[in-house]
Amino acid sequence: MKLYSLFTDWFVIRWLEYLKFNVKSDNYHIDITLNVLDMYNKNGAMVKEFNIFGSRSKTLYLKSTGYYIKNKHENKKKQLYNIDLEKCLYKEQSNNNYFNSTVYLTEKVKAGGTSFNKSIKVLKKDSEASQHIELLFLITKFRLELATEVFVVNFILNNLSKDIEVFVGENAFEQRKNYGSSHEFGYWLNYILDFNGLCNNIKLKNAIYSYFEELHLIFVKRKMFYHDVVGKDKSLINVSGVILIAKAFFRHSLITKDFRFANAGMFLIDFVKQLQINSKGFIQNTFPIHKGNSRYKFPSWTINYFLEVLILKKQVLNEFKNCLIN
Amino acid sequence: MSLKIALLTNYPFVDNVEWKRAFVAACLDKGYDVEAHYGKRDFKSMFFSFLKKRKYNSKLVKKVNSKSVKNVPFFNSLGVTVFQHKNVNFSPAIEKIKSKKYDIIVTALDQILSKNFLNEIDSRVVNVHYGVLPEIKGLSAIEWTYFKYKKCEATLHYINKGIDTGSIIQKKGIEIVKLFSFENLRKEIQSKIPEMLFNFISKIENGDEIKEIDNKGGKLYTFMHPDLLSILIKSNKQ
Repeated sequence: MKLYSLFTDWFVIRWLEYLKFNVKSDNYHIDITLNVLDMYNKNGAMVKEFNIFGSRSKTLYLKSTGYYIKNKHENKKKQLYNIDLEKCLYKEQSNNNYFNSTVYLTEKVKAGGTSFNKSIKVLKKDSEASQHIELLFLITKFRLELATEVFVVNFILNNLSKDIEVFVGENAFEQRKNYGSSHEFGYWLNYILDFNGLCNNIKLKNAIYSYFEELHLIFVKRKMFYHDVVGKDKSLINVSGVILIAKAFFRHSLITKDFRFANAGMFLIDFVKQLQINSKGFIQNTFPIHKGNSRYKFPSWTINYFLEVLILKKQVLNEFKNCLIN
Repeated sequence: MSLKIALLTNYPFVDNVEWKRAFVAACLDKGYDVEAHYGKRDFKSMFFSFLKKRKYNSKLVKKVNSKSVKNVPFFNSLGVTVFQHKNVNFSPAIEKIKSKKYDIIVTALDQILSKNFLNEIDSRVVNVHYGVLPEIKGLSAIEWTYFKYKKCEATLHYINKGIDTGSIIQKKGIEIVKLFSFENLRKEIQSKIPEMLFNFISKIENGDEIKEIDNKGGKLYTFMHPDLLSILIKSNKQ
């Protein structure tokens, strides 16, 4: 089965531009995604990964709607979390609440009375955080009234003014310069939309619209977002990045009622659907990979995001129908 | 002196689009000097173009009926010279087209003309866009125009370096009947193309002023996803 999957994934990625994806309905993909998630759920956390021999990693990741935080002391701290993160994922809520990536951090600080700096140590691995993690902190600070709106807006505007290709390279999880990928970039896009929902800054709204317009242009030209988003090396694809960018496109469409972005997002997730069909509900190759093969299957990150995207797509299709009637 | 007109299009082996035959035949009737230039003559580019269209919008991929009238033999039978190129953006094609010094080049392409082509060619290069300009630029224009404005419109415009950004020459509204299909709308637009082109050509011939409309603004669209398209089609059936 693995060999078959290796071959089909390689084929899908190699012929991405030309292959008509044999995708099934959204409901089918939601069902198989939920089945896989059920296999990996463990008391509000998720097993990080399985390897090809089926042995589980011992690492557990707490689940949130927008970010995964490694949980070293899960049992001790579990009682601090008053929000049901599992339900957050599936329950229909307003856009802001549903997608707010900082709900987790903020609730954690509020519930536990922990100081902000102490709580964010869980996230911050390196002394020099990437831009999207920096933004996550700033949004949390803003929600806790520890940072002003203007400060966060200026931080975002400063980064939006950078060339996308340069920014993607710089914005790396690891402290390796120019090693950032569409994975981190996908987070960044969703965080700026989170903050846009929290504040009402016209300048920021306009800047975000132009930024997405630029991204849409990249999609029109290339029909896919590769590992480095705008690079020419088509052998590198970051699947989780593709999903997160699709998610950002859907969210942006719901806000602006401009369905070009949702249209792009739908084409992006068709590719992921194809990979999921090849891997019996899993989505392989969720880390930056070379020529489409990865030893590990990562259910906790990518599958969750994929489920969110599928749910969002339903909302988008409904909104599209409403616009047509009106 | 009669006008020199070129039809610039692709896929010489399979091209069977009716409006091109009607246009070329009418050009000859009116005494214009008309020639055809075909790009993507090789099987490889034809095959990969087919796959791309099939991937993003299967509705655009027409079945090539072996019994249908092919345009190249038809043009040959009329005595129209047909040039075949690997790609209209490649230097040999550009040099050939440049040397012909056409007054008007009518394009029906599925590719963007290169900057080099537009810099080198000193003719009026025009195209008919199947949507409302300046608002809807790019692909699946019929579908997006219907979604946004509940109408159907063809727009004749000059070609410049952008995508559907050259100034607008003429617009033609197409009446939408109840329970239409997008395939029929496409055919309806195509039936109006020769008329639109001759309006423009006769103005050039008579030296009349052509009022150009600004084509700034608007948004760039791409293939409409089948899930969105199916909602549009369903809404029409209800």
